[in-house]
Amino acid sequence: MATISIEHASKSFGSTEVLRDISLDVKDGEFLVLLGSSGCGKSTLLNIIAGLDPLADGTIRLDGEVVNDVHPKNRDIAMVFQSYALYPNMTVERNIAFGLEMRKYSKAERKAAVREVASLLQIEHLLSRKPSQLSGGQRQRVAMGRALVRRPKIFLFDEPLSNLDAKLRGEMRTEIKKLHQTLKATMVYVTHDQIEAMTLADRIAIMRDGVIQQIGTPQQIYSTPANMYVAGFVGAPPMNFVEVELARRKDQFGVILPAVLKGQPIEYFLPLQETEQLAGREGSKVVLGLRPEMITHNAFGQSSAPEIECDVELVEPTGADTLCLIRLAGQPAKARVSPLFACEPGESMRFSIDTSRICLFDGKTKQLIG
Amino acid sequence: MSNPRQRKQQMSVLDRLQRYLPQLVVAPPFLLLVFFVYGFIAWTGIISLTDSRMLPSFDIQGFQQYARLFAMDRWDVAFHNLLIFGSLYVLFALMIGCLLAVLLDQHIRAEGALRTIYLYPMAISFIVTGTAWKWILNPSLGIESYMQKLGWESFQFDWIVNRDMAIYVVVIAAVWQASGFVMALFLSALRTVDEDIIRAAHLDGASTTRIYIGIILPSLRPVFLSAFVILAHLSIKSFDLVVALTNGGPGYSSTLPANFMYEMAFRRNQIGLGAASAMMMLATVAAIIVPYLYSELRAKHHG
Ligand SMILES: Nc1ncnc2c1ncn2[C@@H]1O[C@H](COP(=O)(O)OP(=O)(O)O)[C@@H](O)[C@H]1O
Ligand SMILES: [Mg+2]
Repeated sequence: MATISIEHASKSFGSTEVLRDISLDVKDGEFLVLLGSSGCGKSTLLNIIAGLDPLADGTIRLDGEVVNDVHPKNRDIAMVFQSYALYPNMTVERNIAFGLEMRKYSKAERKAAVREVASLLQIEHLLSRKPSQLSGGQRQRVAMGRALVRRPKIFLFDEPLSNLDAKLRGEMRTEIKKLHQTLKATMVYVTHDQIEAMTLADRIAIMRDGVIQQIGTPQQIYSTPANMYVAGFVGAPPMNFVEVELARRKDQFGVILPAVLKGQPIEYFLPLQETEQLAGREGSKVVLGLRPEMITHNAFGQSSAPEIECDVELVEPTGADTLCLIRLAGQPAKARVSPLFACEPGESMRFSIDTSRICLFDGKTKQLIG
Repeated sequence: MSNPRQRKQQMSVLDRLQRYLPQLVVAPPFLLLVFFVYGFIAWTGIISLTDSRMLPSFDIQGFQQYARLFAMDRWDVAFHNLLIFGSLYVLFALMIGCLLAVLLDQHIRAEGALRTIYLYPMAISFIVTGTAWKWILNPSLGIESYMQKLGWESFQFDWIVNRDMAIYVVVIAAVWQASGFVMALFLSALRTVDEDIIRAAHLDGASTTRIYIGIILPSLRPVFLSAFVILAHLSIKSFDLVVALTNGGPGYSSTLPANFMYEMAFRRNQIGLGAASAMMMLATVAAIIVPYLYSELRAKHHG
């Protein structure tokens, strides 16, 4: 059993508030990802969980017990740092064994534990080297080994892959996921990379300026983002935001979507589900959130989906898909179509719009309203 | 208007000037350096092989002056003092400087002020240090008389007038002067240590003492080496501190080789003997600097 429960945690460095009233629960065996841009307080939150930074306000519980004043070494937590933080003067073997050494394990026990972890991470041949003689990927593995060898109940990862090249990052991501499935330990993983977050997480907590914006499964975060910040942060290319007017045409509720066809402005009407939250707001402006894959070539859209025809300004092939740059309500927007159907830049093309997954945001509060 | 041909020529003169400017600027100091440092080393080396007394002569006599030098009790005392002074000075300055740096590294509040206070002695001339400590340690003026006046009648601290202990007084004053500098050296190095390493060690269960002794200080090896070389060569060059503090006394019990050299060359008309002692000092410095430079250059080569 290893649960983490944080209630109303706040933290400031001098006059800068780094964490504001954070409440967060991590279930036993869960893989929780803290996602946010650099400087939003992710590392600070992780350090607080580990006990490396004192908590100013609020409580933190591990397995239900308040641990605000418990020393980091007594929390049974291991952490992997972004810079790996290996001890430069020790061999890989001693680096990994250091935690056991401090906990008074015998030499034989340490040796056996190091062997086991080293074979799991395939770093047996590196054991006698110093950190300065290792490549970035190898250091990363050693840092993981140092965390694994103690068999702690909670693992914390602080952007462990951000110093690796793209290929290695992909491989290590898979390994970390496998590791989690094998160990079934509770893990909190910090990253600014939304793809890492989406692929690894059981649940994601998105942070901004020391405030948690939304906590949910990757699917929830992706399909029903709580606000425009979350919607824009997750997904690549990001969600298109188009400012439109709510309207009613022939008894059908929907939005008016201005576009450009053959150089001339043209208005389309997109029918939408009329929810309670939207009722009576006709004539007011809202922000329409459309992911690129919701605007696609009409052969791929559902037959009942509304269609628009507009000029394509630019075409960006990515291999699997082609992104078409179009203009909606004066804003550039991206549509994702199959390369087979993509037109030439400057031509016009018919797109079908998947209105069932559209997000609507309030222009002022930036919150999701439908 | 100048014609294009002329302009081209002007350009090429400027170009050439630009190309050779660095050499032109560096050349005179370089020549001066070669002449005044290495030239005079060679000159001293030659003089040490002659029978020069009041005025330099160039009558080569072989190693006669060195034989005289090694036969002198005065040189024996000076060189023995150098061994005591050099080793204790380097050791204590390193230890105290290092300790101060570690203590200051704990992000204490008055750090800036303390750093300045500790570093300040280095800015004082050795003459001032020597004079101040001479007063402090003088039995009838300084600590001893002060303590006795306070009522501690049996208190005794007369090292400065004690033949066997005078050299240790020089050590005390020199360590006082150099510790702050060593501290600054270590403190700046401590500040470059990755904080995550310290965090990781805390999580691994190491105490702060253990983290410093087991992880941080070993990683400062290059700084230890630099500090050692700086202190070692300072100790061999030490001259003015002894002059101001004990003036070599009582008798000649606290002289260092540099004082010996000065005494012989400039006061007793024994230039040849002075030159021989200077060459011995050079050999001592070389014994320390050469291995250091060698290891530095080798490290560079190996990347
Ligand atoms: N020890 C510290 N002293 C002062 N400010 C700090 C300290 N640590 C972090 N901060 C500030 O707190 C904010 C959040 O930092 P951090 O938690 O490291 O962000 P992240 O890991 O999300 O990039 C940053 O603005 C940073 O400048
Ligand atoms: Mg960080």
